[in-house]
Amino acid sequence: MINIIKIAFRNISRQKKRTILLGSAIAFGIIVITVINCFTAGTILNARENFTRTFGGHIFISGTEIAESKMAVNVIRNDDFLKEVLEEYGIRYRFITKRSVAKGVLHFSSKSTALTIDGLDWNQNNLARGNLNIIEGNLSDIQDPKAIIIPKTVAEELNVQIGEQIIVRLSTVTGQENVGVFKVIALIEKAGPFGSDSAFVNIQYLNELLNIGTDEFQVSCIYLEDMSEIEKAADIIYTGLKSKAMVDSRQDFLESDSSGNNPGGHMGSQIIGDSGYMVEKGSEWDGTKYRLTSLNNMIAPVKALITILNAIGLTVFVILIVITMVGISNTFRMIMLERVKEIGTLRAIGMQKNSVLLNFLLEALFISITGAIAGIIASILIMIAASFITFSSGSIISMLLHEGRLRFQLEPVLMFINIIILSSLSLIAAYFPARKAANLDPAQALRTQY
Amino acid sequence: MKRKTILIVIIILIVFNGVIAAAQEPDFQQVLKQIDESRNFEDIDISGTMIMIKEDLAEGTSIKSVTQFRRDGEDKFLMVFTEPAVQKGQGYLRVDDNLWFYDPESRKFSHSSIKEKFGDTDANNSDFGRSSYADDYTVTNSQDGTIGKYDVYILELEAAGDQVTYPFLKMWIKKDNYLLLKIENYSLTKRLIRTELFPSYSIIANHYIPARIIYIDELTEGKQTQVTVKNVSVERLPDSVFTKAYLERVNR
Repeated sequence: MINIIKIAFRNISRQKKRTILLGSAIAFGIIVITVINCFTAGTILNARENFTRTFGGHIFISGTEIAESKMAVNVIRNDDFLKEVLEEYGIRYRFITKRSVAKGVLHFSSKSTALTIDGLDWNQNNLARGNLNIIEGNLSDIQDPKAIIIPKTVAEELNVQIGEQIIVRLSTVTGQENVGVFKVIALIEKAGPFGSDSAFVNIQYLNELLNIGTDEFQVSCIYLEDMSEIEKAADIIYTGLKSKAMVDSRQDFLESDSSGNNPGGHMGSQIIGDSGYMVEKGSEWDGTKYRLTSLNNMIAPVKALITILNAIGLTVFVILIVITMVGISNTFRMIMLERVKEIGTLRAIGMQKNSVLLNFLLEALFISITGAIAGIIASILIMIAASFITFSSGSIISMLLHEGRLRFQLEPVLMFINIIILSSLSLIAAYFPARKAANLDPAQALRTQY
Repeated sequence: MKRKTILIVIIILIVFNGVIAAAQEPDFQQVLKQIDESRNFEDIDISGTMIMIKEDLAEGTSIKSVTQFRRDGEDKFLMVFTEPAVQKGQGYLRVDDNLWFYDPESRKFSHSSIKEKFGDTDANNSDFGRSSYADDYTVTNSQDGTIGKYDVYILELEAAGDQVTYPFLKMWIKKDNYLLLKIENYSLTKRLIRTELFPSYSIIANHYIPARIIYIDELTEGKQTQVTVKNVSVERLPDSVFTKAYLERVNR
């Protein structure tokens, strides 16, 4: 066996150019699939982290009740009920924050623009405060109940400066017009199309404008201990909530709600349901009806993009593999023809058919494994280089980046599987010429001239 | 003694005049009811064309044309955009408490709210339906005043519930015939949001309907929408007009 291995190694090193070419083809296929797999894994991780920072949690619960006027109103009066569910089912979480959200129009002089208004308790929400990408102004006046933080692009659109007052028009939870006056204290970077562009304000004042109690709120944001358990925790909480109260069925918010009542159709505002509409007869309910959304629902568009990328990567990989297999098969056919006399000699001195077959297969295996390992190393170097490229934080893909850069998450298991697949296919490609070589008649082989 | 007597007489006269003045003031809740009756067509259908000219310092001037059909007795209306071309075929259908918006491009109906803006203008969907000031508001204060050359009552109103768009209103009502000349719309925080002006009226089937309305956005400088009502008709409309199918048919 050792001799066969030695012979295989010697044969490979005899034709270096051919070996390198074959190995490179294999390496190229591995580079493509590895980089794409690692990129998509890193992107999903980035999206989860960024969305967690932006929305302040992993699981979001909102509530709707019917007012005396038969109007649906988005409000949660008390979240003790939710804490009971979390404790009963042993959900491990770091903290729960409360938010109110409104669709507003910002007015300044002769300009106006629509924007989501996100109300936070700044004493509670150190995570949100720490993760705001402040580019102008500061948060020293954050405790001012009428402070507002807006995206820089909005400030430019309105031509408003730090310290100036803007008017915000919004609807109360029952749909009545209301107006508040805010002072701009800071500007933040725009989040991009996958992110949530919001203005951030103090929740107490926003609640006043929404005409709900100062201690009430609209969304409960649960920040889990372990981000990888989002779906599991969401399912458990949903089951727990459902056993105690009315809960909307969990649904993919990309498919739902063609009614147009979805506030602005914005991902962030899909966390809460509709408000201020008359509930149709027969559709009424008692108490608060809850709605549960998880971060995974909200990054569904990103996941869809990732699925497409993975599919493209896989397709390219398959095409490359097919081409490589054809190349390997042809190459080994050529090798067989070139080494007919050699095969005849080896057979004449006692080498068995199986050993000849094994020799060829080992050559194919060594080339494919070496090529694959070279491909992995090259992929890592490419990914390291690519991770140094920086993108502006307001770019279209900012929510998919890690601190403005691409992130590649190594997937050792996937890499190993790809090497196995490639090696197996290389063996298959080399098998038929190898079998033909093994079945050559030694006397005939010795007489053959090429 | 004589001075005391004169003083008492003067006081009595002042009080007496006050009582007479108070007695001459109308019941303003009834005034609102009369305004509603004048503006609503309970027993007949009404249709017409509205030309909406929106002026905005930031966006310039835009013109829209809308055909409107109303059946106030059944709380129904239908509005279809005929201009500009990009909005042609879009429509709003109200039946009872339901309001739908139709988009001819997607051929889908979506729920809208009576409190939302009409199209991209300074008018609200609620401006085009049945008037119900008497039911929706109570008068909290009143005083006399003038607007231009007209003597008016100036009423302050507070919403009776949360179903109306504006929680507070201030109305200028012509004394002689109770025509609305001006309304100021206030937010819950009593900030002026919008002003409605009614510079001219037409008489249709013994009802006064505004021939021109100006909606002024008080939060954005230089922004207003002027609505001119034309080609008003009181011919009976087929029931099929107030259906989704009609909107879809109009767009084929």
